[in-house]
Amino acid sequence: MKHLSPGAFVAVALAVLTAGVAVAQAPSPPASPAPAKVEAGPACADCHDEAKIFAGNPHMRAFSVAHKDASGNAVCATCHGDGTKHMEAGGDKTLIRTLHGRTGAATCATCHKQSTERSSFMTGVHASSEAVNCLSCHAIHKPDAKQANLLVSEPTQLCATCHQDAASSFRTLPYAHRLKPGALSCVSCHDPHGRAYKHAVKETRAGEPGCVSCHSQVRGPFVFPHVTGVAGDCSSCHLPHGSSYPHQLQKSTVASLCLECHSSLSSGTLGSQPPSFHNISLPRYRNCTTCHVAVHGSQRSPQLLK
Amino acid sequence: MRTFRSAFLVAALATICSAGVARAQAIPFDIEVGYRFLTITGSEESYRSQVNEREGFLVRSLHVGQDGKSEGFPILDRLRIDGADLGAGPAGSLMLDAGLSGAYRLRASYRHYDVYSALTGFANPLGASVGQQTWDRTRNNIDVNLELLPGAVVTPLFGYTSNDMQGPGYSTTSLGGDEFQLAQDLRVHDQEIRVGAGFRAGPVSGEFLQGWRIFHETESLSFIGGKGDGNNPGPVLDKKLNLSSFTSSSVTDINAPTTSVFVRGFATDFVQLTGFYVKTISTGDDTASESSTGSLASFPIARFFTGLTETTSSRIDSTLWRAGARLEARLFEGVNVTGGFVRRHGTLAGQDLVTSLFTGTTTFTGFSLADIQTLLSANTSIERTEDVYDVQVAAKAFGPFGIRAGYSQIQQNVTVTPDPSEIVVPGGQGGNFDRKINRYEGALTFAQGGFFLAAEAAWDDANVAVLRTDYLTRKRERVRATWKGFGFVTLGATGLWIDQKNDTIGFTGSVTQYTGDVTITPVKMLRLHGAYGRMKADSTIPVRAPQDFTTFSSLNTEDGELLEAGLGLNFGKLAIDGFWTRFENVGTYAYRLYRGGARAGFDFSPRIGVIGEWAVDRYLDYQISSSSYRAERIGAYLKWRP
Repeated sequence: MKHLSPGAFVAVALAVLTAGVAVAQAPSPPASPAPAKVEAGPACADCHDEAKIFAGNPHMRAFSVAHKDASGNAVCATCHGDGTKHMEAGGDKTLIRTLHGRTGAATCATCHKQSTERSSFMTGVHASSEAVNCLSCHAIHKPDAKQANLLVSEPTQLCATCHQDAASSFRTLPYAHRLKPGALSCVSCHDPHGRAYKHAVKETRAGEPGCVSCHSQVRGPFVFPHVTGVAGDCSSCHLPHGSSYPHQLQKSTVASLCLECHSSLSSGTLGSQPPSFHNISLPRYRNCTTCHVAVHGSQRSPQLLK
Repeated sequence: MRTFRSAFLVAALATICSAGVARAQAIPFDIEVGYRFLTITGSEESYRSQVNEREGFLVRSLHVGQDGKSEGFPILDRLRIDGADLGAGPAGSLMLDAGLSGAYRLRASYRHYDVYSALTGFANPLGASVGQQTWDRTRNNIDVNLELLPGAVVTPLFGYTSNDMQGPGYSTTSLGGDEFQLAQDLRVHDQEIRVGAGFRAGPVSGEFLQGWRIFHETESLSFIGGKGDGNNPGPVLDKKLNLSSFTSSSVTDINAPTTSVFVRGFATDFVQLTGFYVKTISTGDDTASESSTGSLASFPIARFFTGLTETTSSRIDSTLWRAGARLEARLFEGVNVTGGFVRRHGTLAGQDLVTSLFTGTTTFTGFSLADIQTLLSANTSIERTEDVYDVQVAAKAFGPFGIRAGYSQIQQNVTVTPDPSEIVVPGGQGGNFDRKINRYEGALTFAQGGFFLAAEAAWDDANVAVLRTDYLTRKRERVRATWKGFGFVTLGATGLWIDQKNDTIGFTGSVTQYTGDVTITPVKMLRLHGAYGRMKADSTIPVRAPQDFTTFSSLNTEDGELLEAGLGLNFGKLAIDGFWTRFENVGTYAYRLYRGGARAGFDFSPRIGVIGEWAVDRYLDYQISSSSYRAERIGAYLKWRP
């Protein structure tokens, strides 16, 4: 904490002030659709168990804050429309809006349409189609109780439904990130609502590769950087899902991986030629990182030796 | 052991607290807790480097959930605690999501990882023993985010993240004409504090966040008795080198305040505009001191020496900013278009001052000389700009079809100015590089009845390469099809093709992968699953051997075959899951890996049940047979819902 600059205290003071102003304001309704008017009479919950358990649903909480005086059926009507005729007809399914596929997802987007810097519900990599849409992964009424965000099952399992090839890399390759429910999953690194660019991989807020969120020892910045932030990134040398080789490297030996860039056969590219005492026919020189221990970047050694 | 104790303590505390809260409030609570046994034959180092599930107590899973206010606990109407694999690890987590509608929302997570590596073939110049660089560390991540007054016009935001890694290991140093293994103690602590506010004013909303990243690293290295002979088996200029003492310590501090602003506005219900600006200014200091004695040689000063004292002081200044804007519009029902521009700019300037005092120096022919002090003063700089323009159309309203098409252009400009001290062999260490990549991509989905098809492709072309392994042309195509029929069968097939090359350099790389899978649910209580896959990868690039400058091809191939099978049985109180996989790779590095496991749970009552788990990993390393292992775990857990 001793490193906090005076600017930090100014910002904290501003935040506290902002909080004070905010506290003084009454929360205003979020920009969700106005509740449909529902006549007093039978309740949705009389017939639908989903409506009975909806009291514990995050949608119900948000709705009750925004519309304090709305009737019990009003929250159902937000997505399903006015159910009066449906009720009067004894539950005629043609007289109520049911939500499936893309049209169901379009209803979700009525509220969930806000984009961020890297994600978008409208135009993200999983942008709703009849094949893949919100309801492919989320269940509004009956989610898996052990999953957050109303998911129908564990995130990695859900992703594997379509991304079978990537999922099998984690299970069957010897050197791989070990996906564990609750600890590490596909969504730890990928944003399922992200844009297609760079496979919807998450980044740090500063814009660094998301890998350094956990692997902070290689985050830098370094006086003598290597690859990341210069002309490549972590995936220049590592396979993030899994690899046949130690440290999830792209190649079976360190020497072959390093020499692919560090060979002076081509002009106009970055990558120096090692001096001739590096006799890679000897085991001593085949593991470049035995000497170049600071291969991700060094604060003090131009040759990344320490 | 310390790691295990702390993880177990957290697990026990979490369980007791959660159970206490749950019992007091009659909140739904579900926990699986028990003990896991482990038996390893073969290389324990390989097993721990790859899997690392250890013997010990384990909170296998923990779930506490509460929705709606409960009597006597009016400060929250939302409480969710999820825990997994707390205790014997290697990766466990505990997460909290609590809040009171309209008042606050608190999200906190704790994650623990055991970070272990002791690989036979890595940093191992001495034969088929465990390599010289190993580590046995723990990483603890804490992330807390508090949002006040969610849904209000202004919502104050507070956050804290801590990523703490520490533990012992072994490293190496290149010193005096040889390399020596050293004992290492490392601690890396990366923290960030965040303060800001979200706002909402009619159709405009956004967020301002100010963060301060504080990075602190300490490393100490020390001599290991018996490792003074180093890796060099022979003499240097007729003299056998050795190290008799070594100590080193270093401290690195980095401060990096980050400011981010994000604004979003809806021009109409169908037109959304977003803009953002993020800036990070990092300043860092590093100090290190090192002292060693022995019989050593230095070619830069052309002397033997018996002692070296070195101090290093360096400083780094780096600024990263990015800014961008994006338009998203719904042209008509089901057809959206988006286009945007992002510029990323980074500068880095580093200074490094190394003072080295060589004592007990002699010439290579044996004449005694005075002590000599050398000074290295280096300055490095990098400037990098990346512009990304993109446009994309997503048409989702063509009946069963969904189509996405996009174009993006990435322009990178990098200027690297190395310090002369970095350059040993001239060339390839600096310059100005301009790379432009055009990317065309498209995706098609089709869903009708039980049939689903998704195809996606991206084609890239670039004008130049910055690194030798950069492509000039690249294509990536992927197809996935599934069919669900007869009410109990699901068939799936996936194909992936990646080809990239740079004809100027002679670099080619390709990946081909096919997977077929079937799931059968003949009766509701039984699910059977099977999969078969093939994976091939090839890459080749000409490289130059440093010792004689001869040219040869760096070839890497992978040729893998996958078999998977699984079953799930559910008889109400009794549930059984099992899986088995076999992957064999006959490429450059040949190995075979079997994994299997089963889990059986029986509920005596709605409150109490037992779970038995069995898992096995069998790794057969055809290159270094001493790396092979077989590891079996057996776990017994109690399931409790008070």
